[in-house]
Amino acid sequence: MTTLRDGEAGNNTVIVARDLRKVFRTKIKKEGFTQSVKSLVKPEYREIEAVHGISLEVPRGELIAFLGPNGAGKSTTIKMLTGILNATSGSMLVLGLDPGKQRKSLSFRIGSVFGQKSQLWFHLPPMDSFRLLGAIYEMDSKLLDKRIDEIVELFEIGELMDIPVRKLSLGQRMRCEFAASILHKPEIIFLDEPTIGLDVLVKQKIRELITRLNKEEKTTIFLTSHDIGDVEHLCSRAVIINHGKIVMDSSVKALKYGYLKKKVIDVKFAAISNHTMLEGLNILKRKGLSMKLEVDEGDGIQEVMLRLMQAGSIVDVTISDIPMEKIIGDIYTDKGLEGINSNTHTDSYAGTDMDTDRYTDTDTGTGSTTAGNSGGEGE
Amino acid sequence: MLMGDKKSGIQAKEKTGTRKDGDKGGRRLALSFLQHLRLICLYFKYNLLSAMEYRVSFILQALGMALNNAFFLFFWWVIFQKVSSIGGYGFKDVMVIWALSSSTYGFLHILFGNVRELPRIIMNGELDTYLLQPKNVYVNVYCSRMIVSAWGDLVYGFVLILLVYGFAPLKLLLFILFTAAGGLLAGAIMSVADTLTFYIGNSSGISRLVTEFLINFSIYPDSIYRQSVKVIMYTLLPTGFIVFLPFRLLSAFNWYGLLGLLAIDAVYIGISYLFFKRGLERYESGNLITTKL
Amino acid sequence: MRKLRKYLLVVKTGINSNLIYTADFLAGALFFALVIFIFMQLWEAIFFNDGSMEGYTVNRLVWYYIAAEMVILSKSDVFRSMNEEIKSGNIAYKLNKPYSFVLYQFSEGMGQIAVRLMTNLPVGLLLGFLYVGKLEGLNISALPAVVISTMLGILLNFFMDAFIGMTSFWTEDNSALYWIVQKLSFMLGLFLPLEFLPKIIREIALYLPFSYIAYAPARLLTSFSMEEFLSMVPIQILYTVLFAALSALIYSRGVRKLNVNGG
Repeated sequence: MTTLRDGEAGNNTVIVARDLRKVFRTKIKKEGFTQSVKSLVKPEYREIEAVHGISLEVPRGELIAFLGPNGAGKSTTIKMLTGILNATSGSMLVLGLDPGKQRKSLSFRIGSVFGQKSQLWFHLPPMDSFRLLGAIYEMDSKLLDKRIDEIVELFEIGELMDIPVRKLSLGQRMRCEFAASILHKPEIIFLDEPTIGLDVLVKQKIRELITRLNKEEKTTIFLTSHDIGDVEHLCSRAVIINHGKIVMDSSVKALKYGYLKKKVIDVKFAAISNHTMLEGLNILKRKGLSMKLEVDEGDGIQEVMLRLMQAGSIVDVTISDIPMEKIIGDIYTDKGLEGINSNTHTDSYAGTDMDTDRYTDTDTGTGSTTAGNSGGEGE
Repeated sequence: MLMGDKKSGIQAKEKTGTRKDGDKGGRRLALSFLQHLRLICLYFKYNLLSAMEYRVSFILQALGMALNNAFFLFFWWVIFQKVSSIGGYGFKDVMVIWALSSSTYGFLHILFGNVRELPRIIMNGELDTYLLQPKNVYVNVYCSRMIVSAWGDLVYGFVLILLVYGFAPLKLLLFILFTAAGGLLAGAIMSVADTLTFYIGNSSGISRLVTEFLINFSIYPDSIYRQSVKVIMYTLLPTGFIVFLPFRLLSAFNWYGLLGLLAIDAVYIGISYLFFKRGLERYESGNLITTKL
Repeated sequence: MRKLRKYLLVVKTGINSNLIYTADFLAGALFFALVIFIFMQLWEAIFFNDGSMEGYTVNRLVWYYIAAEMVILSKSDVFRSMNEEIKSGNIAYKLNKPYSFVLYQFSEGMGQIAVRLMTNLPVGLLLGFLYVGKLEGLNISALPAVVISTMLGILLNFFMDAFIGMTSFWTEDNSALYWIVQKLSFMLGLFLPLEFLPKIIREIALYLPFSYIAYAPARLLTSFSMEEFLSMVPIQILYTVLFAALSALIYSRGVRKLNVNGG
């Protein structure tokens, strides 16, 4: 085991997948008595290709977001990478091990927080669960004590350790859940929807913990989430899959700035005197004297603003980025792909000037995370 | 192993290579056995601690189970008021059968409480948690739960056997051994039914049925059945080896019988384990079924 | 009229939701076959295939057991359902729906019972004929009386379950109570006819409700007498009405408590 670790130290790739495929065979259920007797005797199956042909490389220490709409194949891919599911075809190596064949060896070195599935014992204090997990991961008891101290400090859960889990709030529980999953010091941690159902404050706390984990223990983080905030605030790279295929693999920055060529202008008039000025503008939504327009970056903004000012007297105006939610939503529905693909895998956007007004209010307080992750880029 | 990642590819191979090394392999097996034994003990401890969080409910459930069993004894008592023997069994013999059955299934459900839950666990994809841990899934999943009321069964059996034989250390020792061995064997059979879920989808109906058949074929004298039923009781649903052979050995001990019984238990358990292991390869987690259909 | 249709629809839903589970049905039938088989073997071993006890032959005992088991197995899930609704607090959301919670539960329960009875009846008849042939000394003209008693037994069972289910307004652990009541009805009439029990127990049992679930209809089927019909059926009716009334009472008290505590 130790030699394997040493051997890999110089090698920067922790996950390699080539052309992964997974086909599920599911029984077709039919209604009615005779039909269901029939299917008991001679079941009919349908094949569903959940993942077809995913190739991926993840360097050590990266914070990668794995995104896609429901049923896109995210969980299936993660389950193959962690050894829960056998791949139908293709090959992969995680930390130099084949998850399908070396599940046990691999499990010592990876951790996971899977949605709402708890590792903690509901009726017992977290400390008991930690001790049990220590035994499951074959940790020496002295080492375990030391590690628990470490984690308790890192996650600030000292006062929770002796309270039965059922009495903890969801946020406190999630923190303990996290702590439990890194007890054995995993090199990669898989997070499936880690912030689902949490309030804003707890979400921030969890994100902070993930960042800290990534920095202090050099843990590679593999994250799926429907919360675009998680991706925006945490990850350096985003891989988006749909219908079992990777539709996009780029740095989060490229994703954002690719779309930043366009802006949204919300404007509210007191009165509109010159309607002709509005003709030819790309109006997304209009309601009475308020409207929402999309404009191209650069000269477009100036021209549109001039025309708006001539059209009437303006009460209020906001110019903003296209929200990340919309960007990703567009990619899911295959709308936005062309706009972005031309810009991916180039670092030109990473270096663009950072006008302060680009960071609208949604971005406040996250400067540190984006800065911290820039090292993960550059493929 | 055809990835560009050469270095780790080679090392992964080396790792599997060491398994061939016989001596080391043996030691590793022994170590792994001990670790799993420790795991079982820890699960037992924490399950018990969990149950103790609701002490009153724990005691009520256990007492309820013991009472339930006592009702059956009442049934037999009534019958033996009318006849003196049923197929060679007297009231005391039936009590011993009940003691064995009760403690055996009690032992099983205390240590391997998930034996009735596995189909559901497989269907819901909850096996993921166990697959992510570096322990044998078979042991890990079955031990992680305790059926609290089974304590009533276990204790009830011991009370009965003490009532029948008084304090006889050797018989008691044998009784404990049979309880454990029979419990493992019964668990192995139920596990085969559970494991069918991997192959044919939800098998909880079959599991429940197998459990009912096992228990019901354990609590009545085996001499009431005709030959064809007895064949089943010593093959497919081996209550003969779970309860009746132990019963005979308890009243008239012989070494061959004991060793033979243990060997048979081991074979059943081995088959059950292999069946589970092969089934596990077909595991498809739960998410697809629940989201898509 | 509209109101009635609403509940009839619930009955129908109860029936349909049970019909889907074909595998469950098959498992239930197999279980039924198993227990009857074991009891038949047991009685045969005791009687060596002939002779009788307390007026019961092997044939009659097997038919007795089939009839009694049919009543017991054809029960609703009302206890579990009430228990869960109340303990989880879901009941608070059901109260402001435009139906009566109690009538809803009753309709659903009747649907479940109908399905189980419809499946258990042919299975029971088939098994009886296969195992021991037709019932000795069957009195065809007594069948309507048996049917009435069976229906009453099933209803009594339902209201007892509903009543115990609703005690969860007050107590966390009513499953123990449910269990004991269940076992008492097994002991006092399912496994053995009351005639087999010691005299004192038999006499006490005839005052308690438990034997009027399974014993009464099974007894009337296997050895009918007008005298026993007239003594048992009124008590069945009495107990059924009593437990229905108790259920209604405990429900209204429980809901009031719920309102006070805010669920």
